[in-house]
Amino acid sequence: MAGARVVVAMSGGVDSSVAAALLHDAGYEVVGVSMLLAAQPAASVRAGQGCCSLEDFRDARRVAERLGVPYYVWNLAETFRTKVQDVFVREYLRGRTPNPCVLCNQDLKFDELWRRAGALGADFVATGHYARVVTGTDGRTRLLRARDAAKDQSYFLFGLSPAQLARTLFPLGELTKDDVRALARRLDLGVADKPESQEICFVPDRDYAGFVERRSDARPPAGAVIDDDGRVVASHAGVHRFTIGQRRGLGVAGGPARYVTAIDADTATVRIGARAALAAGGLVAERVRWMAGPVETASVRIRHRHVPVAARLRVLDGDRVEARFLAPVSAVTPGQAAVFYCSDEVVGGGWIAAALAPEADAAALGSDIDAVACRSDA
Amino acid sequence: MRGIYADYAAGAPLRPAARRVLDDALASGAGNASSVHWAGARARALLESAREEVAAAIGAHPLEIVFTSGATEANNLVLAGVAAAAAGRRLRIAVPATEHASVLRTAEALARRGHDLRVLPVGADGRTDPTAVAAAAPDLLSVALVNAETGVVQACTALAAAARRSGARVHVDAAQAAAVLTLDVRGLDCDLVTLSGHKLGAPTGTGALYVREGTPLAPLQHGGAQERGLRPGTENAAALAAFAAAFAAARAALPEEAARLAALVTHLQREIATLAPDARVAGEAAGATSAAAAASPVPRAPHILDVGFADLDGESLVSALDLEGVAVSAGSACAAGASEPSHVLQAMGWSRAAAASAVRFSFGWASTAADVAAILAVLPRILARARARRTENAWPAHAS
Repeated sequence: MAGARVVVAMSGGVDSSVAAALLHDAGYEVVGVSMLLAAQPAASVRAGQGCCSLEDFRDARRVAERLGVPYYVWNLAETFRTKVQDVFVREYLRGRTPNPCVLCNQDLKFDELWRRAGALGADFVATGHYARVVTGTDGRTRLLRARDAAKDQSYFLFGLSPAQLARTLFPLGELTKDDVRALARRLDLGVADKPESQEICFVPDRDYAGFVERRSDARPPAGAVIDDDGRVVASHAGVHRFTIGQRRGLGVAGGPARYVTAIDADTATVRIGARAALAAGGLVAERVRWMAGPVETASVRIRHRHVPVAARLRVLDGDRVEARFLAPVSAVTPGQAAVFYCSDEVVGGGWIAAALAPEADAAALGSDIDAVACRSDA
Repeated sequence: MRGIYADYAAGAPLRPAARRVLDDALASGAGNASSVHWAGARARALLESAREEVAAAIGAHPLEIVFTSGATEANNLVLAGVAAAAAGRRLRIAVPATEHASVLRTAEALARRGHDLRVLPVGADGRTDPTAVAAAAPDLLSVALVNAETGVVQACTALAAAARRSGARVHVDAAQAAAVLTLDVRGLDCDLVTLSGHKLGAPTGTGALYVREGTPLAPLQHGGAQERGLRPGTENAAALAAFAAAFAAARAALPEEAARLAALVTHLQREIATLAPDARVAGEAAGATSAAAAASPVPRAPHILDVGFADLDGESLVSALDLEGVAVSAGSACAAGASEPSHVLQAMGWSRAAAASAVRFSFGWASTAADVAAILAVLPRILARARARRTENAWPAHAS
């Protein structure tokens, strides 16, 4: 598709800079676009301190100048606030642990950015994600894990429709991070040694609770921390301060190690227990999107970098899916994404609504995830 | 690719007359206008001739002209300078909500220091009602004659008269007006007038403030007697001479030039109304892009057309036009280079989304009918592409 116009989402970091350079070299007509996601980008001038530092925009602009491609900054702050940040706050207040990066991909980069790129006649949107999109001889476009398993970001990309995937380019999918840094150095892009971006770009200090409180209308209600024997062992200042598997900040001193095992926002209750109590036998995912499928078995990843576990899937009512794990999984966390893989392919995914208790007869699915044949019920 | 420039409200290309004066001045060996020797005298001569020309162009006395680096500096000097001259007295400052940021932000800074700021509403037509000014009973009124984003012309004389009832000083920001309207400071009944060089084809970094004799104004910077001490620092005599030349050329072309620009804008407006029936022109009632509605327009400067494209995104339209070689703008730029949805349009009752859909076309001395034709040659395809993408669904309705 050389000659096709592609909007490259440029953050000023090394990955998207190299993505732009590779597409430019391959003959695409590259247009660099940085998304302004915060109304006040000047809060931090220096890069690597959350999104939208002026230094990041400057770096992106310099890379575009070096490549000789047009570059624009588009204000997507309003969309980001409503589609990502507000959801982030709401989910925490519901006692869940949200994953804003998935929403940002689904609703901003591959939706709103794509729509705005329409005016430019851009045929594709590209990013510096480590993932692969391939179109088979059957004409079906699939999302695959990156060649570099250590950098794979396919988890954050679930939920893109086949139509969205067909107009998406991931130039880094076959590369390692070292390859990318080496390319950046060789192309003299000036960003080769920039640090990795933060986990959640709009909360660079990682004070998620503080962000939720600043963005909430009312102060989240306080409540009780209850041990697995039913005793109230502490009080807490809001369920948004907790995530499943959390060990610190529980207000309990001494004794055996305790972890958050369940969060109930309706009663403002945080339940804690021993590590063993974190084990789950499955999960219920809601708002599931099938990119290929439905399938009856798959390996399921419950958070970024989690090693997928084999599971049997069952479609419940509507877009809800129950996944039963072959072996218990620790700290299944409502609000995170459950992403279904068949070998390297992302076949679907949804949002974890609940963890299911372990079952004695877990499964006879076989222990090696690669040995699990993805069976479609179609 | 030949560039089509339609962003005169952001900055006009250098006029040939200004370039000639600038080149000659730079070559003349002019020195520091404050120096007593021959080199200083050359610079002084350039500067004082420029002052006389600018003064003559607006009906002022030369000593009432203070040269500045541009309109932003002049506006800062007006608000902060009048406040500083008040010597501790709490001033009531009235400004329409549609003013330029250099007025609004300065006024807000003064409010934080204890002054009483009254931000005046505007109607859907972008104009302030004189009764709102009278009700505010200000000590200082600051109003733009021509709004930079919409081209809406404020009824400055009526607003000034209303402000005078409370004894107010009146400041008129004429940065966008000077290229297209004849200015007469006595007729405007104002104490201070801001002028911008690069909006009318002078080099950037030039501007002036008319300060009526006797107007109390304190300098913001210190350390020099230049510009009657109101603006210390060595004057850029060569660039200011070019500013005066550009202003003189602009003024000499009026009023024919205004009529010429109005014809370009009217043509563009009519064609856009056909291309995009849901488009809305700032300063006119919704749906008033038709020729019939244009027959009784609210007074708008002839060179600016600010159009909201309904549910499209102005910023990406501007990018798309740029890729086709057409330079226009949307909203006002933030530090990162993105646009903020226009506060002017929102003050006129537009929703945030509607404001974010606006694209400003603005024309000037070098604009031609061919420029408008070139814009109209690329705009249909851009709008069609943007619209098609806007209604596309990624997932079938049942799947998401």
